[in-house]
Amino acid sequence: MPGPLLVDSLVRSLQVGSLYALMALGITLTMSVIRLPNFAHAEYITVGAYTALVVSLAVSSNPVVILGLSALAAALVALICHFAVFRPLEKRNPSTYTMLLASFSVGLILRYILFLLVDRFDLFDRRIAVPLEIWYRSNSIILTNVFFWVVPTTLGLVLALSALLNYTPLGREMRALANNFELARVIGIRVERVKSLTWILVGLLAGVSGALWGIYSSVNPLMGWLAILSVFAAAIMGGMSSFVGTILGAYLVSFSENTVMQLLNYYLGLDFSFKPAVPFIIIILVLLLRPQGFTEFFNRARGLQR
Amino acid sequence: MRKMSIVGILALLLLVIAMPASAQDEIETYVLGVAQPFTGPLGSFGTDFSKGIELAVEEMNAELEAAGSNVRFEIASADTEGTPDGAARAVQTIVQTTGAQVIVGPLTTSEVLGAKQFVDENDIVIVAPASSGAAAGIPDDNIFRVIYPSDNFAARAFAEIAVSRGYQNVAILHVDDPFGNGLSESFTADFTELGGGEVVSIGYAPDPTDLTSEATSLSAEVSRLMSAGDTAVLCVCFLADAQKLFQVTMIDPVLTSVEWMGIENLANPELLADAGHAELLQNANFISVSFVDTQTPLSQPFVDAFTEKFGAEPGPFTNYAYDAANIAMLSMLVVDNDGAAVSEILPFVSNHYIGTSVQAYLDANGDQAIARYGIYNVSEDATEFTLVGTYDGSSGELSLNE
Amino acid sequence: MNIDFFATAIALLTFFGIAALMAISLNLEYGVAGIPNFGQALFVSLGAYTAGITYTRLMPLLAGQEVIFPCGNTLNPALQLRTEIMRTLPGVGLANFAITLVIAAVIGGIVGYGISYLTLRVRQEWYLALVLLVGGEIVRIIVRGYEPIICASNGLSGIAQPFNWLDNAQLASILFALMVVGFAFAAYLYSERLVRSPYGRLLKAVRENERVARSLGKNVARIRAQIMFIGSAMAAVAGVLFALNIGFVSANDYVVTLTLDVWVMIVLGGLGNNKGALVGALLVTVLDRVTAIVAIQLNMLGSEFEFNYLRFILFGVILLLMLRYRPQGILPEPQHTTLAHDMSDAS
Repeated sequence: MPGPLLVDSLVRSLQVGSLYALMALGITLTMSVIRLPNFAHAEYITVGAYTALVVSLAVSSNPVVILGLSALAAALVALICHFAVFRPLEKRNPSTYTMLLASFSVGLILRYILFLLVDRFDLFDRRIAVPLEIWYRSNSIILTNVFFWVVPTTLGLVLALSALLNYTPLGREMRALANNFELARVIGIRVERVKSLTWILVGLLAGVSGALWGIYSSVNPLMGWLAILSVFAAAIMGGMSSFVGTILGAYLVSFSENTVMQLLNYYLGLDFSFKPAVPFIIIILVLLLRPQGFTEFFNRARGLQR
Repeated sequence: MRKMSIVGILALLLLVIAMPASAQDEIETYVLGVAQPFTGPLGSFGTDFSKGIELAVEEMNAELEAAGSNVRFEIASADTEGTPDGAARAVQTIVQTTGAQVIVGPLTTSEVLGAKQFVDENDIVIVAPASSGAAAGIPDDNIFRVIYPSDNFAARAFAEIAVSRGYQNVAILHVDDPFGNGLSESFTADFTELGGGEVVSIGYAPDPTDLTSEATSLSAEVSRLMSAGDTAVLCVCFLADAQKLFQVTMIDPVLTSVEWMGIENLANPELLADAGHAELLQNANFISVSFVDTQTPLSQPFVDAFTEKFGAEPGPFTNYAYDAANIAMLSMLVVDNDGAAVSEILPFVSNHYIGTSVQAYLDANGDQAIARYGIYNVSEDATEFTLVGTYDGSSGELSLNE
Repeated sequence: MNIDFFATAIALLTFFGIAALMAISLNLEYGVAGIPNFGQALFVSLGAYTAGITYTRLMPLLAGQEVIFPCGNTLNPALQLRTEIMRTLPGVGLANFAITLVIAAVIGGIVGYGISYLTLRVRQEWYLALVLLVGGEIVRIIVRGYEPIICASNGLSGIAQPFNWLDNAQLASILFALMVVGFAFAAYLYSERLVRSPYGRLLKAVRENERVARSLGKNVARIRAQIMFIGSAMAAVAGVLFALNIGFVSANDYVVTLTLDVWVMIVLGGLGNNKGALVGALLVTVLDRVTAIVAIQLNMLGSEFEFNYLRFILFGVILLLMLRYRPQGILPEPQHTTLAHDMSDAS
């Protein structure tokens, strides 16, 4: 496969991987601190994307404003879902599948509320009004403004999150909750407060990732739902608990979907229509061969569980 | 107290059910079923089609009233959710709840096939305005695809255009579903027959989250083909997919250096709303084969009436739904709304119907046999699409002003 | 409104029967044996694809005809062939149907059995759920792209229900409905016997406390595999009936939503409880139809499509309310008590 093509593919894998990483981090956080496999996370992402669309059309084209408002909107939605649905349910000590079904229902409700609003305000097939510009061009690489927003934002948020977890009291409490729930409660951590703040964090991440995803591609009410299994694949690679594992998992998933798929297509003639199967196959391989994910490799790195 | 309120509710229910019947013993109501995907990835098409059908019914009722007829049409609409199973249930529910004999819809070929067993067994007629896959081109059944011709015609049109413009090789990016596959295969066969060179076909899975790898692959193939002659890209993609695609191709030096062709879905001003995409298409000398032939006296009045009623212009293909509804209603009026009879008379009515596009002349499978296309290019100011030629499917005649 | 109550009832009965089969199967797997099968769509689809293959490749052979490739250029001739066989040689059609059921059950069962051994490898239980869910999607994507099975994304039409050679369409639909319900009832009786037997108690023991069961020398893995065999076979049979009910086999019908719908049925109806599974299946089937009817009526009165979205929102809300206020379901699992020890003739 020609060199420039490979480089091009890698650049794009990097970009999409960063987006997956942002989305998957939210799921990892939810899973480790709150112990909930949250299918509604897909909808928080979509909410972020639609907020970005509306803001870009009606308020401002400034990316910072757009990202900020999207983050806030998704955080709000996440919080509402927590107080309205998840918290009352948790009090009754439900099984994991009850929570899974509950998260699926919440997602269903949010998705169709979005459909309703999109239909009412005629937002089908509209693009976020942030034009694509080329910011760097060389012989083999072309980088756009979206690239420069996505990758540094991801890195920045990851670092910020890491700093939060390791150097702030809240972070310590979150890690305590992730490590040993009962013990955390016993030693006096205000569990409810930590949970609420975690949800806000999860929402912020989802909102930003949704907005960036929308700018990068397009916006429709099903975008979160369609991407969610790829995102779960990434989170599973991190064993649902390690940050670094999740991030690397995200890049691995993106790399497989893009570069590996491309190689398979180029050399083996495998049709691109099988592309959606790639993250699924990864999930199965990881779960069967190494179910704990790759957490052990990152023992020394900062994560939620040692 | 409890007993009374239950009785009360039952009485109220009976009253509600009985009321419509008794209040209208002079008016005879024919129910026109509408089965479209209102939810799911094709939701925007379903809602727009429904509006077109609503307009058709409203106009028909007004005409009937003015003419002193006692027949009125009523719409019974159900959501197919975009799946064959959903379509079967939607059609079943409509027929069993309202006694409808004729249904306009569903949208896609898969959905049509999902509903086929039920309608064939129960003598219900399906008038599908936009299905075009070969898999449903079956003779002697109750499915009529009256306006939108088989994709084979569009494929032929593209092949002729490609030859006319002097393309030697073509790279096709198409959605991997019956529509995309059918058009791609047809085009390849036609282009080769007309003396064209190599055709490369890249399929992408429907509802993609991201098209970067397909775009990169396309770029590689085009690059390779370019060394052997003039190459162009044919995009058989849905609007949302194209939007994702253009984000990537916009910055690709190879793909921005070749000319592009695209299917009807892409001759949509919505696509030009993004300045970057508009520029991309203009530089690519983008050409589209669209079945919107604005040359009948009804075409513009339809657009005006729709805009006035709904406050926005009709989407692409909505006029097909409008025409299909009219054909259905006219057939129902001719034979007093009996399913089996409608099935017999519908080809006759179709063959004598000209609506907002072309005459609906049906072949042996009950599908549209006339394919007259308009050929569109991006305008100078990149704000709309302008007509630059026509293609006649039955004669194979291409007339292109370039 | 002009409701044909009889036809609606028959249609609902058919959908209910198919749903009941799926619900009983899942209830057996999760409710009784504790295996979280989030891959129902996979097993149902296996049954449907089997039907697709037998009706296009086997049935012509049974009728003494040559097999015509059902896709591409020979699509119409192949379709006409199978339609004609079903109409003129009902015996062949019925025989093919019976064979299809057997093959589907066997294939479904074997796949289920095989997959259950995977559970040994997976660490956390809900990871198994994800493996199954994802496995279903992988199969769907492969079948959608690989032509020889069901003509890739085109699907196979003319996979007709076995009574459609009757001239009277209504009679045909009644017979089919009765047959489907018959299957569901048979599955119900079988499951009930299984649950009340000592084997059933063993399953519940395994579900409640796997380690204890294992310590008592029970081969947990094999027991689970057996249940998966039975449950998956049932689901595959449901898949055959599902496809025949529509008359068309397409990969797009067997998506994650199908699996989640069946889960909703057993959770609403009551876990671990066959009657509960029936109640859940009935509830979901009826709710779906009733909301569709309401949507039609509201639309006639002038509301603008919103109810089509509200249907789903309503579904989600009902589910949440049930999970919150009655998580054990409408019919909670009955507690079976058995005599621990009969003291009457102690020795």
